Amino acid sequence: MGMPTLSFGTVAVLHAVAAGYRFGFDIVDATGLTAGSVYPALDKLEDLGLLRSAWESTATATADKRPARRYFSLTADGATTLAAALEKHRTFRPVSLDAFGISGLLPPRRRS
Amino acid sequence: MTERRLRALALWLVGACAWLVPGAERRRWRAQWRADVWHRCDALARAGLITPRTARTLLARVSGAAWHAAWLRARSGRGHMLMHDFWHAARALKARPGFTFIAVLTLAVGIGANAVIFSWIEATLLRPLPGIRDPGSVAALYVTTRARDDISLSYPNYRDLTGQQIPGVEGIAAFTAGALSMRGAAGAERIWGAVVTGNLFDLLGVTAAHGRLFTADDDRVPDGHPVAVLSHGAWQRRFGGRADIVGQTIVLKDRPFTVIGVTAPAFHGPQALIGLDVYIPMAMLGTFMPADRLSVRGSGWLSALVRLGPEASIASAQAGIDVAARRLGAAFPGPNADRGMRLYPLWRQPSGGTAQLLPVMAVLGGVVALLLALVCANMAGLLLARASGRQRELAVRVSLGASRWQVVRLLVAETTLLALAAGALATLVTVWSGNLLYAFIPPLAIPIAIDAGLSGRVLAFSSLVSLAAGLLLGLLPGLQASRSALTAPLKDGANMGGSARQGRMRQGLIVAQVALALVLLVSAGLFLRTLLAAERVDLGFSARQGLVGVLDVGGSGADEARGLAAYRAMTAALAEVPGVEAVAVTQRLPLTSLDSSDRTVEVDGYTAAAGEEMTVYYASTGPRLFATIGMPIVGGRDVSDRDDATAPPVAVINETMARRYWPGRPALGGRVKSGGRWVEVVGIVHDAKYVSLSEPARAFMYFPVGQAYRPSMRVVIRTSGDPDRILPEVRQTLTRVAPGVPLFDVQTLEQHIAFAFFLIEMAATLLAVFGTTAALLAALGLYGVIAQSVTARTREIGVRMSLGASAGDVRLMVVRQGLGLALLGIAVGLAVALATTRLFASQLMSVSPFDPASYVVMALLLAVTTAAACYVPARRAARLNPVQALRVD
Repeated sequence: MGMPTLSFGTVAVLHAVAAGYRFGFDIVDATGLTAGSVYPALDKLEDLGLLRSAWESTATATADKRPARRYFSLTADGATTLAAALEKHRTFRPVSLDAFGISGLLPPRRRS
Repeated sequence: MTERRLRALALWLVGACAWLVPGAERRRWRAQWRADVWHRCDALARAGLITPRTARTLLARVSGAAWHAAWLRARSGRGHMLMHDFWHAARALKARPGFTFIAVLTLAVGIGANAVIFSWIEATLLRPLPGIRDPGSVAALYVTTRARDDISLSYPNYRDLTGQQIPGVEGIAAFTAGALSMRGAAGAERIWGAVVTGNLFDLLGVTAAHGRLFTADDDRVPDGHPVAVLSHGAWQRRFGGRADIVGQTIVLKDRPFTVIGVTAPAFHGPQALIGLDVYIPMAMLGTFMPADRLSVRGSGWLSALVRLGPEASIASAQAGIDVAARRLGAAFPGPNADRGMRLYPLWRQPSGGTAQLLPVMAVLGGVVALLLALVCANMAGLLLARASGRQRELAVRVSLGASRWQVVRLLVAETTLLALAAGALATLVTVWSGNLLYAFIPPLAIPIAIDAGLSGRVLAFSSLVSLAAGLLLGLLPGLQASRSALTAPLKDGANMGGSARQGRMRQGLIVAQVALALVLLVSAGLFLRTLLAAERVDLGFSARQGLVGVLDVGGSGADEARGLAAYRAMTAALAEVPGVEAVAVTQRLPLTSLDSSDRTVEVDGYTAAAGEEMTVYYASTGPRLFATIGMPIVGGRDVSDRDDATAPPVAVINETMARRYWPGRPALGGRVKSGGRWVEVVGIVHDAKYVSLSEPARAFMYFPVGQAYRPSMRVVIRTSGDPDRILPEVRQTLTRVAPGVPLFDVQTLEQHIAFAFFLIEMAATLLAVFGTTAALLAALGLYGVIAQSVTARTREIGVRMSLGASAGDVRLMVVRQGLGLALLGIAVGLAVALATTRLFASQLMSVSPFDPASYVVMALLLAVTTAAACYVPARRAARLNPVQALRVD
């Protein structure tokens, strides 16, 4: 199976699930991304077979008087993909600003 | 925000996004989001972390549901065309953040004002008795005479009514509300409650949060049912929500009552807008007031509520009530002769809080509707300007094969998005609308309960208004733009300033805006004048600095003789407190709204005309009341401590009563038959405003407390300095002289008076805010049109200047163009204002709806504002460099 290309945010979501954050809002908290990107990312990762989802046992939910939540866990493919993606990001280096003749920080963006 | 409300709002948002999700995935999507939101709310509540900040974070997160839903829809590849339009519109709006910001803000002002006022109307008039079953089939029953329609029911009449089958009426319940004293661990407390018939809760369909509520069996044996029901609020506040409340004993007026239940949290009580704490069965009335009331047919003191039959309307039930009233009149002609009965919907009761709020809310509702119309006209102008700037884009679309309908749809999608964003902002504002309303209400002795804020109905209302505004705003410029887009050639420079037709349309919109602004300003002016007039009204008494409170000597178990002695001792001791100028006790102070008593009298030597009402309002009073509150005695004497049960009965009357019943004869020494005995008039005092500022002159009688004893009286203390400073000493003195008689409901005299002004003040303040907003919006709209016209006429101005026109000439030319529109708008506005302000003439005081000052001042104000708005582009035009101006394409 070819390795899918994952965006930085999607890798962050995958990483959060691997780290044990299993529910939507917890993953939002863990990654610092918006809910509007995390939830689609979860669905996408499930489509790719990198995550699988299931529902909480009804007994737990009923005991708390609330509906059961959907939780996510890593698949074997997910673990491999995550390891590869993390490796890629580890070797990633920011563009050297010197190449553009600018030293130090980027200047604040100006409207043209 | 409570957890319940936060969760409801968050879940509602989730539900609102669900329609976007493709059908196959909707169930799963909804279950996932609902569970996550629910769990987070629970977790926050458990940690005690529900703060405005965490609530905002949660709601922001829930807004992610919309993106998730849109993403799923896009992934399904079956995106509806409408979705595509909205997607496109969102991108177009995002590309012009400045325009989008202004447009959303402007619309939010209009929709927000409507949403806030609607939330008030919803909480006060549409839902006057929250927590009851099917409020639409509950009506209020009043006794009517030829002259009045707001008389309360007497208990014998109530019993006779419930004893018969009335077509269209399922049942009748009655109650009387008032303050009681409750003995607690920390001494006596004042608590508001109602004595209710046993069937009241059942009839209203109120449920119990704990224990049970009264049934008819709790109201059978006089003095035989010492049981009480608490409100949910009182249970929480006064008993810490303890679980074993049922079966506990509370002491009311020295008498132990067993708590049998707690009402559901939503229920405030059977009286609109007032929050009651405790309920007692009618059979126990004798504990709180003379129980002989229960047998006097001529004495009306009960508020009655009617549950209509399943198929009945108020009109059809009224027919049955009419028959029953006639039957009562025939059976008991003395007290019931010439009396009828009338059913009212709860929001249109002739007395009480709703009666006072209804006209004010009607004015405010009309005003915000006008403001929204103005905002829409303003936005339409803005959109037309934008549409003419976009003609080339639209023309490209058309030439590439877009149908006219598709172009219109695109523009409608844009305005709908704008309006919905504004609506969301406006809805958010209503979360605080309850606080805004309370900000206008001065501190009160009466427990006001108005649950205004964000509710399902408010949400539905603002969604509907936003959608309607969005569609309307999009259709007009959409059709307009698409028409010209179809015909406009694509060549450069064509129509850059908009067609003549569009120009005329924008000018028309400006005239409409100025006219609407003037109507709002004139209304604001009339209410401000009313407020000024109200502040000059002769209240009938001159004291302004002092304290008002309630002394409940009966609550400590004193009988009449000891009670009178206590009143005398307390007033004497209080008069000695440094800083106190005068003290008196009285049953009622002037300007006591929501509480007035009247009775029918006979006057010696005066024959009532046919159908004339011989009712006078009255109060029992101790000596020196008139001196204390600064109410001039016009003739005769004050009541005194010597006017007791052994002395001949006397009364002091007001000037109106003297004039009405003793025309051309001296009223002093005259005799009035009241309450079954003849009393002699010994004094005449100046008229006062007894209930409200705008009331007509009423006949009023004061009876000496020694001959008309009341176990609970108001005490009024006039002070020479800051009344709050001497309050501790007043309390100390009272505990020394009469231990066990605490001072309740303490207000400063100023606060007491302020309540009479609050509705007028609220109306004037809000109208002033709305009027100013309207004037600014109209000025902005005018500015936009003139500025655009200057841009369009750059070359023409250049020609004029190169031909010798001076900067002054150019300025004048531009200002004249703008002022022409403004003056036309002002003329139209004056005509409309003249036609409409009379609708609220009854709310104005000492000001005619045609008050010339309001019209002239506001018209001038608007003229100056609009002139200033024209001057800015005019100055820019005058500074044009003619050479450059001529080079403009």
